[in-house]
Amino acid sequence: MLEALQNTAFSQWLLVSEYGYPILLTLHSLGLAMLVGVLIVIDLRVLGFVRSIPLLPMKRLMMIVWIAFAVNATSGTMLFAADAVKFASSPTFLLKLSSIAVGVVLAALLSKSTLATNSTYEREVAPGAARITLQSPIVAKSLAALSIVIWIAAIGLGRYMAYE
Amino acid sequence: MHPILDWLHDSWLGHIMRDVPWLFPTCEGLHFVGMALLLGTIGIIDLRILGFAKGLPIGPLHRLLPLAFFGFALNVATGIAFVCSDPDSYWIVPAFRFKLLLILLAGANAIWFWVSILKHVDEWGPDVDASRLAKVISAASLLFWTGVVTAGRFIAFAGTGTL
Repeated sequence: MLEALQNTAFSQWLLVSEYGYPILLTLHSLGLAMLVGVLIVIDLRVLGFVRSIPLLPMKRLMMIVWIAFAVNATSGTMLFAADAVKFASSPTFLLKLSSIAVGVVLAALLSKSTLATNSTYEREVAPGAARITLQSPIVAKSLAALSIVIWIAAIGLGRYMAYE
Repeated sequence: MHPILDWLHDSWLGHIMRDVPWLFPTCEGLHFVGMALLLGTIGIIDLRILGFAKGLPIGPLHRLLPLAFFGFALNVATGIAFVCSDPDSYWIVPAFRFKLLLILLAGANAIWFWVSILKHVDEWGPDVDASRLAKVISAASLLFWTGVVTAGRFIAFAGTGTL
């Protein structure tokens, strides 16, 4: 099936066309920059940097993150199609995909809970009322820190794929 | 070739970039992380000035700029390292020269922002529109940085087969 994929007219065209491949790589890079760059800013804010930026309005920035993710899922699928057999058997590629899966889940959790309109993350909570939820600082901060590490790993793995 | 290119090629940086196998890929990874920090930060500020996510006050967003500078510094350092590994091959590629030009334009644009806009950013709180000039500069900034990334990706496709 992977062979059939990389033998499709599209995949073959991508490999021989002068601009197809670099244009897809450019879109993939711009998507990466906005996806990871904006997420790291949100993660750092959750971790307590630049507290003068109000946290909850940052949820709007998640739209940039999801658009960038859509751009990269699409361009990534196309780049995969050009060399499906090689990529599918590459441990680096599979590790990259796993990192992205974890990163996306973390981003969705932070967006839906810590940045939610009813978030109590930075609100005073009566002593004893505090529970361990995604809005409790220790959990939210751990997820934010993990998110930064995992996205930098995904970038590193993606670059390393070019050297396999 | 040009003596400056020879000097870069024979520098210690040129030597280690060619001789240590893991160094080049590692620098590439860092170059992409730096790109994300630079474009992510600048993108948030520019898009807010253009009217996106207006709930965010523009003044405090400016406190993110050190992160953009950090990303830029990381990319200047790793970028110089790439060039030192093989200066002639980079210098003859039009996409590389165009990328340098676009970085200069983006830098000049940032200085323009610094001089004419920075003093007003604290006036633009939540749901307040930025000035028209700020929007023009921000749109130019997005255009230049997108161009920098695009030109950068095209360097390896110049057809010389050496990069």
